[in-house]
Amino acid sequence: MTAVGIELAPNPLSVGMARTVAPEPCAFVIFGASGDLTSRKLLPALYALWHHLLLPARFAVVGVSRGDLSDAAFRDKARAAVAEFGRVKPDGASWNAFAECLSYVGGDFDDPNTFERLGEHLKKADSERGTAGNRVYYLAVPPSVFPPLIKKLGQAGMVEHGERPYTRVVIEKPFGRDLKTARALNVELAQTLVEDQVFRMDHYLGKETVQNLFVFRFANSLFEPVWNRNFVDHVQITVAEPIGVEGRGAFYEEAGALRDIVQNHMMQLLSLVAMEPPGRFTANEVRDEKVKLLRSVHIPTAEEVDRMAVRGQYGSGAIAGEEVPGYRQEPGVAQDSPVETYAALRLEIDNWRWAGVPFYLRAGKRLPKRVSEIAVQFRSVPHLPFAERAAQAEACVLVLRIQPDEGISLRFNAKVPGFRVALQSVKMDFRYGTSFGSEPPEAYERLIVDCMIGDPTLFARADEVEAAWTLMDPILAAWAAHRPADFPNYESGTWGPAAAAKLFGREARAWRRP
Amino acid sequence: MSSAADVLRTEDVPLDAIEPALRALWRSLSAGAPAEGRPAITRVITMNLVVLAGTEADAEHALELSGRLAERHPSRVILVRSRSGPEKVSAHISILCHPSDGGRQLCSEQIQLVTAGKTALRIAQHVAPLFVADVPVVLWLPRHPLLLPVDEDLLAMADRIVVDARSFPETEAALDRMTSWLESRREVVDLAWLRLERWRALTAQFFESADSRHDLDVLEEVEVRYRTSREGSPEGRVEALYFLSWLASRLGGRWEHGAVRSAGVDRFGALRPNHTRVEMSLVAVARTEGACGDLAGVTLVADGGRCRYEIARVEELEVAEVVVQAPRAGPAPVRVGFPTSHPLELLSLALSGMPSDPLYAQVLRGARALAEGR
Repeated sequence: MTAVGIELAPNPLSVGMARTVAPEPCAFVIFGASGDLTSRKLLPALYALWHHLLLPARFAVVGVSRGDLSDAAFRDKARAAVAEFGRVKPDGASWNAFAECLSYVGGDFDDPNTFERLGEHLKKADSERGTAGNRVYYLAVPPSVFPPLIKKLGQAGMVEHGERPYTRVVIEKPFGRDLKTARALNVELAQTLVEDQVFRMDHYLGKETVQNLFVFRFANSLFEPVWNRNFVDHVQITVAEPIGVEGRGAFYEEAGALRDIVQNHMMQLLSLVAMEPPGRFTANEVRDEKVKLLRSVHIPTAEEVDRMAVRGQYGSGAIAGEEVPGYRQEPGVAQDSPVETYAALRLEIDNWRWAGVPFYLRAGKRLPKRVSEIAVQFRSVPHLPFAERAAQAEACVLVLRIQPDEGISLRFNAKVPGFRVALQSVKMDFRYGTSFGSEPPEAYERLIVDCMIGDPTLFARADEVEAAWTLMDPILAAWAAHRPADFPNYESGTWGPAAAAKLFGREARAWRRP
Repeated sequence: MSSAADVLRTEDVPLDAIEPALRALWRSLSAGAPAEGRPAITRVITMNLVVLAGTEADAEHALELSGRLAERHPSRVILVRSRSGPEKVSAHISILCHPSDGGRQLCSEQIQLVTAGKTALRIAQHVAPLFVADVPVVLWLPRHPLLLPVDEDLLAMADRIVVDARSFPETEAALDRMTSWLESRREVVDLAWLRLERWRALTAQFFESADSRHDLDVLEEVEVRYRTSREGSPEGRVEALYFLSWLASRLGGRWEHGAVRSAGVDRFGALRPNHTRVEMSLVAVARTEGACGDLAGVTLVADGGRCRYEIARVEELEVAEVVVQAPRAGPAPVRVGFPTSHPLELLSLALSGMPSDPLYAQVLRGARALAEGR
């Protein structure tokens, strides 16, 4: 093994390519190869990368799962998955070449023989496909399987720490279900892996629009000077979806909106929109700033939770003209379930930039539409010199649309044409779909390549995960201590429980209608 | 990729009435959309795309391509075609729309100018008033510019010039012309250079791993094979010259001696800063099918012949075989998909918002020096 810490000079031939750093040859091992995540996200992303030549030619994908499957059958399943879910559909030549990369190892994850056979299989891939001993292990398995699986890999000597060949492990959220279990998971991971081998995937960070937050904030002189308590009245972050639990009732009963969305995706959005500018755009400097921000958020006391957090659960209703059942009528859900399908928070950040500026966050299922956005509402002007219809001057709002219809809009006041001075709010709109010709890569594509080149900037670090759970823990504890008496408290197809409005108190603010 | 746009409205207008006519068209389309049961329309213009068409066939082809491009690159397309006849300029305007998310239609514009007689010599004056402000001007020359009425005024207006060196009858002429544009501080995008993206990516990949990176320092031979209609012909060499020039520039090479040509092979030598010599050769391969100028294969040999890296394109299968013969590498060839670049994809790439490519300027100058045997 090459000694750790030797810096390899940049490849001069990669300069000016679509990616300055291209992945080295490697074997990409998917644990949970027969699962939903593999079919819907991983294989389509890998194929799209392959098709666009963003993967090395010397590459192998090894699927590992419990069932027995021949390589040919795995390739057939992969092709069907890419055809159904991929943005790049399998075409003859490109697919045939990709299919040659695919192979399968069946076996139980509890069985040491599985790892022995996998080890032999990977050595064969090294010699036949030139994968050079580099490994990415993607754990597309339930979180409870992470620790024992990683332990088995360690016992089999398959996760040695080194720069070349490298071994990296990707795990997906949830990273624990509270601070205690998140810490325990981090400790267990650290027994086998070092932190720079662990890539905690939150696919939100792979979205172009989320990454554009960095550029928007730190590459435009227009906005950063007003990005503070002197100019910003408040910020609203919304992650809404019209779907219910989609057959995952049993999973959702263990999660809830706070754990499923707020602790991870929304904390990422919050930290990106509110963090201080990093000195350089490096993994640790960016993540240091995110952690600093999360640690600056006021941690609610048990008494404060009721004033700064609202939970909800959807009842039956209508979405897009179709009748839909309530959460408690979903398969796998208890008839008296106290699990929240909606969560709204009012957070305050105790630092110089944001003191006194509330951040309102809400996430929910069975809301009227699918939308993820960050809305920054600016303060109203201190004085309006137009006597007539002055009351109609609305505050300026900048909306960063994460999905769908990705883009940025700015709402401001304009004079209505005519003899009188009448004001009307108008919108300037930037849309990714129309301003840039090329189709952006899917979040998984971006993050898979980042992992292969060893760039963890867009992955969560252990301390970042713990900082986010630190904020959630008092809310989870307070909610666990008091069963909700009013569930279900919002109809499907509405914007959540009426009680969410109480987060604004007596302030002249309201939830946006995205 | 992109589908053809719907042409919503089109009409002939006098040259001095283009802007008011377009405004009127937009107004009537916006007002009429709900009543006619059509989705609301949004005008999107991200660039002025000026296309000089040499022939009627070029014009039709350019119109078709730009219509398809409108979805990815909504623009004000100004297509200029010249005809014989009495001195006259006529104009024809169209609005093109594509459906988009959210039930809207995104629409852009096409203006066709037909010039005849001496008016064909004053294209810059005709198009300048038509540019939409604050968006770039891209000049696309689908044919060899010596056959088009390209003048300095028109070039001076362009933020970017898009050409295809393959459309030039001679490699040297293409490289000369593009070098002169670059020297006049113009941004040039050559589709022939963009076609090499996959070749460059695959070649770079050979040396991504620590095991092989050292081989770049001890590279000794490079052979680039390109397709031509007959062996020994200079036709279609431009991509091969670009490739060699790119490799030499990345390796920090200085040409040591000029080209020596024999039996369809051009040989060049380069001396690198580490005082090692790289022998490079261009080999013309008789074309069986596909376009001339496409590369057929690349071979790199390093370290006294102990390491050999090869990419061989199997055109009919649209794949490339990648072979590494090195002490630590797997011996078996692996295949990667290698489809023929579609003109629409290349053009879309050429129009994309990427900043100018400083590497290309270096490669172009190197290729010109190679072509001249310097």
